[in-house]
Amino acid sequence: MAIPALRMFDLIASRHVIVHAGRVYADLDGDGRIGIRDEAGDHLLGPRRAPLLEAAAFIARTYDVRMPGAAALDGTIVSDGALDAAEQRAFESEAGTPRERSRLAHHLSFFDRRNRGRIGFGDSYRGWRALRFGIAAALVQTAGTALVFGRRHGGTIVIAEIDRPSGTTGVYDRQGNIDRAQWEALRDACARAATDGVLTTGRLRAVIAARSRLGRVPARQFETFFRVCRMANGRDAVTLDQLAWLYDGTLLYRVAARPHASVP
Amino acid sequence: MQEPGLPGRDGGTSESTRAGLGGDLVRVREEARRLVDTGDMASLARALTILTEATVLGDADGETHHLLGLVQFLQEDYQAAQGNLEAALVARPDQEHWVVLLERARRNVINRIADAPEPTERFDNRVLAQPAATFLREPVDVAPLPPPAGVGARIAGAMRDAAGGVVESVLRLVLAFATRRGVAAAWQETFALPDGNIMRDLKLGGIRNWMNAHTLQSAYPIGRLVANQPPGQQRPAWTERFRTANGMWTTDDPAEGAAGARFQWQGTRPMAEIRVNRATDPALPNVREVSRAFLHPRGERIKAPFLNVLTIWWIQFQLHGWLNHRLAPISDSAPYRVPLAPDDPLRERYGLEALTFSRTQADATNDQRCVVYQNEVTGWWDASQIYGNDQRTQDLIRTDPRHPGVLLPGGRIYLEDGLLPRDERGREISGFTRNWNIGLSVFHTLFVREHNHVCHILEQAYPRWSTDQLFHTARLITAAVMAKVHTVEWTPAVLPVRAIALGMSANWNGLIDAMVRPFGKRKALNAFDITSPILGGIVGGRHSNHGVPNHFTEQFAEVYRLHAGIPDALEFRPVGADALREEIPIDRLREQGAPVYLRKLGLPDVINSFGYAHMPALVNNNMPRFMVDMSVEGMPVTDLGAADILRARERGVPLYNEFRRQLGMAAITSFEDLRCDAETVARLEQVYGRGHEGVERLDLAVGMLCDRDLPLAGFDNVRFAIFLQIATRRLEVDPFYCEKYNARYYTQEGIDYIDRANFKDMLLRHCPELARTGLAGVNNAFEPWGTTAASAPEEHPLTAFAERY
Repeated sequence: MAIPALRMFDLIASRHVIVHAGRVYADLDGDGRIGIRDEAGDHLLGPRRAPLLEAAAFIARTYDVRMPGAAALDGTIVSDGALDAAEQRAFESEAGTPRERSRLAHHLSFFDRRNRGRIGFGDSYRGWRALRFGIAAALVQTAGTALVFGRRHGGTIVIAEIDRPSGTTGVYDRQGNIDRAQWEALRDACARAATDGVLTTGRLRAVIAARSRLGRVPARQFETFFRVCRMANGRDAVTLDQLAWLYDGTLLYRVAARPHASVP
Repeated sequence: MQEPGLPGRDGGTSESTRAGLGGDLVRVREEARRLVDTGDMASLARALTILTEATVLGDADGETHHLLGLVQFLQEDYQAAQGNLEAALVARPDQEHWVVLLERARRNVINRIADAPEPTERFDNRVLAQPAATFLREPVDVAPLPPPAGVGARIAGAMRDAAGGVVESVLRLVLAFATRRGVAAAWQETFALPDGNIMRDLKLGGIRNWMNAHTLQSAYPIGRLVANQPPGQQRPAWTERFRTANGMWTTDDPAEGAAGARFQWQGTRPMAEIRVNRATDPALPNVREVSRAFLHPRGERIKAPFLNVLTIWWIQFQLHGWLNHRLAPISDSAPYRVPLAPDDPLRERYGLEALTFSRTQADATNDQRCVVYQNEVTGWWDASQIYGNDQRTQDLIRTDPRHPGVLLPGGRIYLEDGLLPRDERGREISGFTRNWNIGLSVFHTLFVREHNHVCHILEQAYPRWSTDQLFHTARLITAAVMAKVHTVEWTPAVLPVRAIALGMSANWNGLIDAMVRPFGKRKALNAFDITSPILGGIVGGRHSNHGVPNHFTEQFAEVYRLHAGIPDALEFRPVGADALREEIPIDRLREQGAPVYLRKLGLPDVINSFGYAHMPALVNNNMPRFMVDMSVEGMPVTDLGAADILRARERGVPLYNEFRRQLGMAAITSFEDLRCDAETVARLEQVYGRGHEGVERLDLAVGMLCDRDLPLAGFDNVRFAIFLQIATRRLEVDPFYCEKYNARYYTQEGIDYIDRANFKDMLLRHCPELARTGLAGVNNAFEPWGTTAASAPEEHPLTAFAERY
């Protein structure tokens, strides 16, 4: 089985790498990007080369390679997701690809089931269906997202080019990375409003409204988030976990894996 | 002549010296008794040391050797205890308690009670949270699945779905109407209606829908995968078509129903609000005293007129495939100490002041506001009791010990002369062997033979299949045979009313098929198979867990404590014998003693004995005598009745009245509501107290056993309520009994085999000698074999109301 190029983070060495075709690449010049010319030698990797290669094989065999957070069995190496086709081209070019993927790109990668870096109508529809939206609801979501985010490419959403709309919580920055201060403030506010780690959507709305004035698109996105959580939890509830997963890019993968309601 | 067990006179202590040391001996014995009373391992070790040293002081009255034997018994060193007790009895043969203790020590040596089956270590939740695929071995050399159904079949399927959708919508309305006055009223009305009344069936259906919507709860935090499995795993393709060794990947939630995942919960109030460990609650009566008052037998045991002893061993066999809590070793936890009353006979017999019970291993992952426990077996109806709950065990049973590492050809499970093989300790090897006894040995043997028989059939039809493909396909079929026998034969035998017989057949075959075809002609997949769990049947339909991942519930585990149904003795009656040959205490037929006797007596003769004997009834004061003072691994002296009470309290399962409320049933207001006799009511008031507070203290097991209002014959109302939901759910949650129950996964040979299968034929297939017994005269093999429907209709109620066999 061919192992796709994987971004990984080695907790022992505290280093971002890309593992591709049995080789390990690292950000050798410190510019935040990794390319095909950045192969890491033994002087850099030392004994961590073999664990990195083993972890890549294990993760490719066991997990959906697109998803961030998959870990090697010993927990010392964590995947940051497979490179999509666009990133792969960048990796093979002079410029290289960013050593870390943005959290927003991770979130969107759920819909990019062919890992092309683009989300077509079919991809989008299947993604919503995997989240257990009904046929009509999935079609509406597909049309809506294509209209808002895919206008420049005839409805296809290009992950690398997605723009953040105005009037957001500010947790995602313009590049789709997490603004830690904003995130921690939102998380702490939600934790204060939660009971046993669970908020009703009404409470969460109130917390968000107290912090920021949402634009139409972000407000709509939050409503979709609430709906996803409601279906996953079987009731009007969002857990603090789920809020964190929204921003670490794993929420949709987790919901599609069919967790269920626990409290009637 | 030398005193047995004492030092020789010429080389040992002189008489005068002994006299001088007499005072020391008294003090040593007193100290030893005090240490025994203390009961912990360190005290017992100290007692052993001082008593061993004291043997040089002489032991004319045998007391030192008795105490030594007792200490060793309590340390589970039964072999040594036997030697010292024999020596003690030479000096004092009149000591009845010593005789009893010696007999118990001897049995425990033969049965090797102290040898706990593995595993005994604690659950490691970090390991359990590793990706599911790391626990499993992919089957080798498996031919691809046949292609999915063609266009015509897909259109037919779509039509069945559409018809089912319409029917289900209408049925939901009808059932909601039947329970329109609320669920509590529906419960009361249901039990008041006569059998055969259609409204009764509708109300039961409505109550079940209500329970599915309002009582199921997961023991995992919302939003998480079962067992805190990591998200985003790729499901190995082979797990879509076969059951796995530990139950993982049966659905897309990797650890749903897997061995090691948590027990789930039933009840209307959130689990965390209601679940507390009450094991040491001072407001509740002492569990040993409760056991003595309401579980210990008084006089002759009451028998169920319409059930034979195969019935109780069958359910224990099933339970071992469904659930088991793992106990913590006594030495590894702070065990519960239950003080003994001044008049408790165990005081004199063992010199104990308290009984010691190990704790149940609680889930160490601290992610809930209440205690939760893990099920060490799979929660699927996958026959894990014979196939194991992990890959290592599954490979072990498929291996001839003379050729380790090589799986048997033809998908077979290893048998030695048609019986289960034994390990070096004499313990039979099978999927799950805790609490082993001759009844379990019989059923495990039968079903392994059945598996190998199915392998043979498949091998004839598919000679090119690999051993893995044969094994896994045969497992699907054998497990389905087991589930079918339980659903359409065992359950109606225990609850012999028309509503249950029809309802259970509807679960398997669909209501229409059950109504129009006689018993032996029904098919799970039939012309009336619309996608409706009621009309078309659950089997072959679409699986649903009603939004809560599958695993058996703590409530189910508690209500299926059926120890009262176990006999005290095997009433041995060989095939062809006109009468009982001898009675062999079940206590001798436990653990390693079981295979010894099974080989000595012979499988057909043991089955015949079970078939003729009546099963004891599930009522109060009807526990087997041997179970209220017995030895089990880790607990040399225990009372299973007290343990039954303690476990429900420990695991936070509500007490009887609250349990009723949690299922939507009306609470009882006085002990008279249980409709038991006046003497039992008086005892209930004495133990639990009078009035509302007393009723609210009533333990679940006691309430169920004292409830003599049995409108459904075999079970009390509370037990029945749990059964009503879970009997359906355990099929409904499992894709292999729903959308994957078809020839593509099971083969056409397999589907036909399951349709034809029944327990009587299975017994005759593997023990043809039984054709010459009373089995020939009964339709349902769980009914007593000594009579027929013509000679004793009350013993064959299913036939009497003309279930269409």
